[in-house]
Formats: sequence, structure tokens, C-alpha cells
Amino acid sequence: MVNISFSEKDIYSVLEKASPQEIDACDFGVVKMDREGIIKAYNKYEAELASIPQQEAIGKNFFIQIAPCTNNFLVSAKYLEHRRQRDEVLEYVFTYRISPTPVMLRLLINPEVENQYLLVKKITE
Amino acid sequence: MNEEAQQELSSMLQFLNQCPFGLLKTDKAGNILLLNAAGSQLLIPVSMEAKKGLGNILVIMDAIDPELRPIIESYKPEYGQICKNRRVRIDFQSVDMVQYLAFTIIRISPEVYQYSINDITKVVESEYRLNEAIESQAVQAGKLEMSTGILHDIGNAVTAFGSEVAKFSGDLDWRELSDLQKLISLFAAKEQELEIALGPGKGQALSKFLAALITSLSNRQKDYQQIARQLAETTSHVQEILNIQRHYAKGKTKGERAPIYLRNVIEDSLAMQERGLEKRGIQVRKDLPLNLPPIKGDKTKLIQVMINLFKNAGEAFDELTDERQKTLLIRLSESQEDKMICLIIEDNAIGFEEGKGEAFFEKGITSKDTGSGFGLHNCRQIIETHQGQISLTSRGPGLGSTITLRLPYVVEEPASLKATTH
Repeated sequence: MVNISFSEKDIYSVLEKASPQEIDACDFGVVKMDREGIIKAYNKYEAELASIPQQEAIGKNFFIQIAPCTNNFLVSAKYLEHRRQRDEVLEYVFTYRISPTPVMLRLLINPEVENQYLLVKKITE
Repeated sequence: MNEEAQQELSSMLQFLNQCPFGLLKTDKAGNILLLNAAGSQLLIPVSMEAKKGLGNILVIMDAIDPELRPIIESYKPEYGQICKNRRVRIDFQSVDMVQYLAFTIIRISPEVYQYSINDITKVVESEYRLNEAIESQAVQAGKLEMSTGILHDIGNAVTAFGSEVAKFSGDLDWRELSDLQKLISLFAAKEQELEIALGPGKGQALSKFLAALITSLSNRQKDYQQIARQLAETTSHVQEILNIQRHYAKGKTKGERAPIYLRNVIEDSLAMQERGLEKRGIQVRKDLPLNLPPIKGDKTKLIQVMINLFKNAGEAFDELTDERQKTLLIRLSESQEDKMICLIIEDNAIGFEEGKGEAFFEKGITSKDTGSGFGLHNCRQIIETHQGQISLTSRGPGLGSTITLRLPYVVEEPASLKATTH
């Protein structure tokens, strides 16, 4: 079993090769989407943080149905513009259980490939 | 928490998170206690632009709407609405974007405040566009009123001038010339007596002098009559143009679409451009059949298009350096297949590089030193609002250019419309 870290350098290829169990074991949220934001994988950490069962999230539009708070030019627009490759870390605030929750987002965007990733790490005080 | 309560909570959270506007609960100091998804979606970019964290709403508002904090802090009642749909403009300089948010703030209790935030950018943009359109229409109406007034004043002045010209023409029947002619005849009859009275040769000389004088005066009379005729013709032409202008300017701001004959619009616009074309020595050849069906359109707009096209065609000859016969061919025809009236304006002027015609329809593109580039762009906009098409082509520099304009015709001609009416 491979241990994947949030700040892993070549994390895209690591995630692509990782098994569902390895992705579930991550200590940060992993959302795997297609180029339109439709969720293909939603790991355990993220499911628990958001109180959304994993199976319920699969097939839904992440930016509209699961995390509308990301539906702006800082996050969703970067995925949906299909313009350039990005590996960008961003401080953000999620609204899990409508409580403002500071998180660190890592946007892994590659318009050349099908799978896109959004990683979420809760910032602890 | 039991399963039923858990489901209820989950459903309520989902409801709040799918709410299309932002909701915030804060304490008296502005610290955010609860925040739904839309609230985060709207406020995170704002807080980043303001370089503040998303912990305290008042700190963020200080950066984007400094007048809000005093309003909130000076609100005395223990509960109630502090402001409703307060409009705040946010300039995102990093992405060159403007957003408008509407804030409604309610004091729920002495220590708890609720904010609702709505993105009203599209509404505000629509308002601006509407205001611009209203302003532009008002300006247009003002210009129209002014031009109608000016046309009226010029018309009055031209009519007065025309009367003076007519009076001048009438005064050119110089009776003095016939009196002088009678005097010459008298001198001719009394030549001998005149010789005796004035001395030898002097009577004859006087007769010759009078004959020369009458010839000179007759010539001058003919010149004046010619000038008077030209003045009358020019005055009549000016009156004709003013009548056309008045016809098109008269209360046509609403963009009425009535059946009209393109031939009449072409003739009227040519009459207004006639002097410019004549001055350049351009021979205008027209093939404008009378039996073509009408089109449905705004004649004021269409005459603007035609004037622009003929003006452009005329100016295209200005850059010619050779002495070619300048010709402008204007041809109207009907395409029954797609029910279109087709106008072709073909010149043998300067032309341009083949395939570059489309560029002249772009806003701000012109081939003239003094041109604004709005002419053809506006022409296309007007033609397209009439469900028509317009194109400009050339076979190359020096080989002239062709405007092709197509407009759908009215399939059934109204019985009341005559081919010669406007």
C-alpha cells in the first residue's frame, strides 16, 4: 500500500496509478472528475468531511451539486475553461455543515487528459 | 442523533447549500458563524481581492463598502432590517472583472446578524444596457427634432431665395434694350440729318457705337438669364433634397417596418449624393426595374445604408491616379428562388486585395484616412436586422469593387402600395 501525501510532487501520476483503497486511505480529500466536473471517485476522507456518502457523490456534478461553494472563477472556471495545465494550491473555505471550514485546495487540471483531480486538506488550527 | 434526525439535518443542510444566494450568520463583531455554499462561493473571491481572510464579514466589507460598517454599528433596534439589497460593486483587478453584489442585512437579536448576498451582476449590466439604449434613443430623438427644425428653417430660407431668383429672372426682360433698339432704328432712318447735326462721319459713328452697346448689353442679359436659370435649377434641386430629407426625418425613430420599394430608396439616396458623384466625374448607370416586389423595412435606416454605400463608392475613386472613365453601376434584380431582392453596386475604382472584403465590416476598420470604420459595420448591422446580407468583394487593387446586398421581399404585394410611392 502506497502512502500518498497532499504535497506529493508528481501527485497526478501517483493518483492515476493508485488503487481505490490507496485513495481511500489518503489523509486528505480526493475528488476525481471528468473534464465537465462529473465525479468519478470521491474518497472516504472527503465523504466524511462533507457528510456525503461516497456512492451518492459519484456521477454528480461536483461544482454544482456537491460543492457549489467552488463554483466561481477561482475554482470551477479553471477546470471548465479547458485551457491550460495547472497544479495550483489555494487557501479556501468550505462550508461543511454550513460551518466555515478553512481548507487547502490543490487543483490538478490537465485539459489534455480525461481525469481531473481536486484535493482538499482541512487546515487545523 | 437517530437516523431520522440525521436525514432531516442532511436534507436541511443540502437545502441551505443549494440555496442560490449566500447566507451568513455572524456575531455582533462580524465574525462568521455559519455560511452556506453560495455565501462561500461569492465571498471567497471578494475576500481574496480585499486581501482579507474569510473570518469576519465586517473586515471584508470595510475594503469593498467602507460606509456599511457605520450603518450597522449605528443601528439601534434590537432586531430588524438594517439594509435591503444594498448594491456593492467589486472590481477584481487580477482578472479584469466587475461583480455587483446585493447585501440584505438583518439583526436577528442583539448579538446575531444575518446577511443574504445575491449576485446581481447580470441585472446591473442589463440595466446599464437599457439605460444606454434609452439615452441613445433620446439623443437620436433630440437630433431628429433638431434636424427637422433645421430642415424647416433651411426650407424657408431656400423658398425665400427661390422667390428672389424668380423675381430676378422676371426682371431680366430689359425694356431699355428695345428702347435702345428703337433709337438705333430712328438714327438709321435719320442718318443724313444726324450727319448734318453732328458733323460728317459722326452720325454713323454714333449709330455704330449704339449698335455695339446693344450687342454688349444683349450678351450680358443672356449671361444673366443663364445664371438665373442655373440658380433656379439649383434652388429646385436643394428643395427636392430637403423634401426627401424631411420625408425620412419625419418621426421615424421607432424603426417602423413598412413595405417599401428599394428602388425608391436608391433613387432618393442617389439624389442626395448626386453632386458628389457628378463632381468626381463618375458616370452612374442604373438598372432599376419598376416591377420588383417591395421589401419590408425601416426606410430611414435603409437610406442611411444606401447613402453610406454611394458615398463610399464615390470616395473610392479619389485615390485613382490614372484617367480611366469612372463608372458606377447600380443594378436591382429579384431572386424568386429564395425570395430576395438583390442590389449590386459595382465600381471600377481603386478596389482592394482579393479576399479582404470581410475585414471592412469590422468595427473600426476603414481604408480611408479620415474614416471611422463605423460605416460598413453599421450598414451590416442594419441589413442583418432586416434578415438580409451584405458583402464586399474585389478582384484586386485597381480592379474596382462590388457591394452585393440581399433583402427578403414581401411575398404578397399589398394592394394599397403603388410602385411610385415611398
